[in-house]
Amino acid sequence: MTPKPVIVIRYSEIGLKGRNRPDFEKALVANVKHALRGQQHGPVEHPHGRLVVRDPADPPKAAAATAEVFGVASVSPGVSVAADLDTISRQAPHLVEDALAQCTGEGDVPFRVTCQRSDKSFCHNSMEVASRLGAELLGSFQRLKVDLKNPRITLGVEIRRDEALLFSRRIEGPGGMPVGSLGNAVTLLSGGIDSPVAAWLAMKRGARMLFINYHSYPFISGASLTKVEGLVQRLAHFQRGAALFVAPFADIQVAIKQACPEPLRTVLYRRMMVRLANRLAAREGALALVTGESLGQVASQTLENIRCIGAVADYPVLSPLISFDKTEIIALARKIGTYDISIQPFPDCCTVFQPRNPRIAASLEEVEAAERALDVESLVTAAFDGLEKKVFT
Amino acid sequence: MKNKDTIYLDNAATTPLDRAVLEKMMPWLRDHYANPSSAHPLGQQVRQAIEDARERIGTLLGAAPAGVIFTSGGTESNNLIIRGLAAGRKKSRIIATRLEHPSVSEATALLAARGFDVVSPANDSSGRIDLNHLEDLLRKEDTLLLCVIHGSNEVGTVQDAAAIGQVVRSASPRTWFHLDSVQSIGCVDFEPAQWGVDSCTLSAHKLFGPKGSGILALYREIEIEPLLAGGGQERNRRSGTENPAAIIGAAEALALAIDARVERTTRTDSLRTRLRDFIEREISDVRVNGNESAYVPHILSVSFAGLLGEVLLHHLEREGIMVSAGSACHAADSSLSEAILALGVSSRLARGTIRFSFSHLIADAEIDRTCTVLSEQVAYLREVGIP
Repeated sequence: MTPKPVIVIRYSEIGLKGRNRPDFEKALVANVKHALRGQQHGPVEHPHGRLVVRDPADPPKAAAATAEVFGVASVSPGVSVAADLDTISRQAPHLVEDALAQCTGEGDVPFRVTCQRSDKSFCHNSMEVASRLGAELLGSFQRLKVDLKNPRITLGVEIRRDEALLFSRRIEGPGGMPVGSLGNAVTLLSGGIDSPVAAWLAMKRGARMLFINYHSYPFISGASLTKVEGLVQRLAHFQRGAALFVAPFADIQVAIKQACPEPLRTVLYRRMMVRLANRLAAREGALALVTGESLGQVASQTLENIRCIGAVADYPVLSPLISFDKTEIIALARKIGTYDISIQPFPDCCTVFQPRNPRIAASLEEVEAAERALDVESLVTAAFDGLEKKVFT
Repeated sequence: MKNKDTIYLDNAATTPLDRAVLEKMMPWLRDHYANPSSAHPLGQQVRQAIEDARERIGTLLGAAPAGVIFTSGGTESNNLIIRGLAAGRKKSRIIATRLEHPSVSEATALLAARGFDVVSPANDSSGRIDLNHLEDLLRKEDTLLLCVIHGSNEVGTVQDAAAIGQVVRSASPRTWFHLDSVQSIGCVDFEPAQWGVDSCTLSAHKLFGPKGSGILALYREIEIEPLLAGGGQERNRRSGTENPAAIIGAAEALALAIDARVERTTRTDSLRTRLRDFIEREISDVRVNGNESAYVPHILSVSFAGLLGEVLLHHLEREGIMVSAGSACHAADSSLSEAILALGVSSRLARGTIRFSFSHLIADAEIDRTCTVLSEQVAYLREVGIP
């Protein structure tokens, strides 16, 4: 049997989830397959506690793609060979050579061999396999030095009934839970930096996102939507596609501007946004709303205003960024790949509607009193009826 | 977005390609593919067609064929004369009006940063330049270049090129007089050689010709440094393989524009008058920008007090009417058009500027529909109000 390339994918937390575990594993397999779409590969198997992708055409690319999937603890590109100690020891030097090529600099390279046997009938125990391979490799590679505590290279060997998997590289995954395994939520998505990061964090914990954006055309250009679409396209990558719902928001903003006190406008706009998100969540069977709120960052994000806004939510409002500093949010946005899209210079709201001096701490009573001047129900219904859906794969 | 109900009032940005022009271009896109610099007969056939077009254009513009340089458009033509003239010459004075297109104002700003003394003549509230002030600025000893936009792309005002030429000849005859005639050609009786113009720019796509096709016509021999180094085409002034279809299309478009000038401009002017009269009669608190006796008839610039140009633009666009605005939604004063501010328009008015630009192809009914939609949208937006 010639060595065949594989990607070994480890997951951690979903292993703990008792009765729901088959559902979690099923979601993870589907998400891994989605991450690999467009790449050639063989079956994705899930033997106990692992996923194994067979015969990837481009192993580094396949490893990088699967290492972005939520629920994945780590990924190792490697090879599958016959479960036979001589074959394993013939293959091991190739993997170590590859790993050594990545180790730049002079001096010894600390190294270890780890071995696991799921097939306990294998004629050598783990310790014997590790020490034999270790001794052989030390003989072949002068730079190697055994260090069980802080190795730079770990040769992993997993012995199963009919094959052994060998790998020498390990890429950390994002952790978390497989997207979709915990149900749907609606993200209130602006074109800014924060809300895409909030969506990503909620996705990381297993929620699948629907996105709603509020667009003030014709007070701003229709072209400004391309930025929001770019963000959803990027985020869709993490969850097997996504739907964006664009709500026409100009009429609501005009009504508020004309009928309500100027300092309260921002809070009133956001209460309307939440009401539209409520309706979308109800229609699409979502269980929570997600926002990019960060405490105190802007005028609408004081505790008072967050309370006034959240008071109209029919669902729990999840704000994963609530305690993040802007610099932390930006660092995450860069990592996710949404930052460069968010900073494109399209306005997401026309200055026509911005209050000059927004109220920093509105009271629920005054906000509700201000809203009595509006026909909230028909404004929300009209905007909801005008919702446009775009699907990203 | 574009459908049969669309009313296209953005002809100063670009015009649709005339079918007759396209027909003339097709063989040079489809059949005659050889490189005009090739020595074989296939190449020479293309070369001949280009030289015929050059001669035709020279005749139409009153320039020697050797003075006709084919470029990629108005921007390149303006850059070529301004930067090509300044290169290798000592730091001296350049005069440009405050109404220039960015391809002139940005090019001269670049030279200002390199030490040239760039100044602008005063103008009146219609945008016409003050000839006395121009005369003062023209220093015989060191004024290299005068750039004048003949028909303003933003407000439509036409400068008196003949009078300017006379001032240049008497005050500083060695100063190079460049006329940016992208918007004026086909609108006015165009006699640059008689006016004392030394070079002029035109762009085919403003004349129902193809995009990516421009001309710089020189009326005096002069050494200019090319913007592009290469195979030495266009007498070493513009390297790069010529675009035969674009050149032939430009010649045809220019010939049609000059031939049908009176007929087209009469028609266009009646459309402009129709809309302008309606606005002045029916909409309060507006300013029609520009000069009401010297203007290109395809441009009507109007400032609506209390509005933002871009917001009005999108409201008109939603009703199928395509126009241009003088400012963006963020409404920072830095984004306001220099040309509009140069007329002394207050920033409150300047923010609400819209440019309607017409062609002879537009129907009266389209203008009437524009009138109705415009007055509705202006009233609505004024009711909404801006901060």
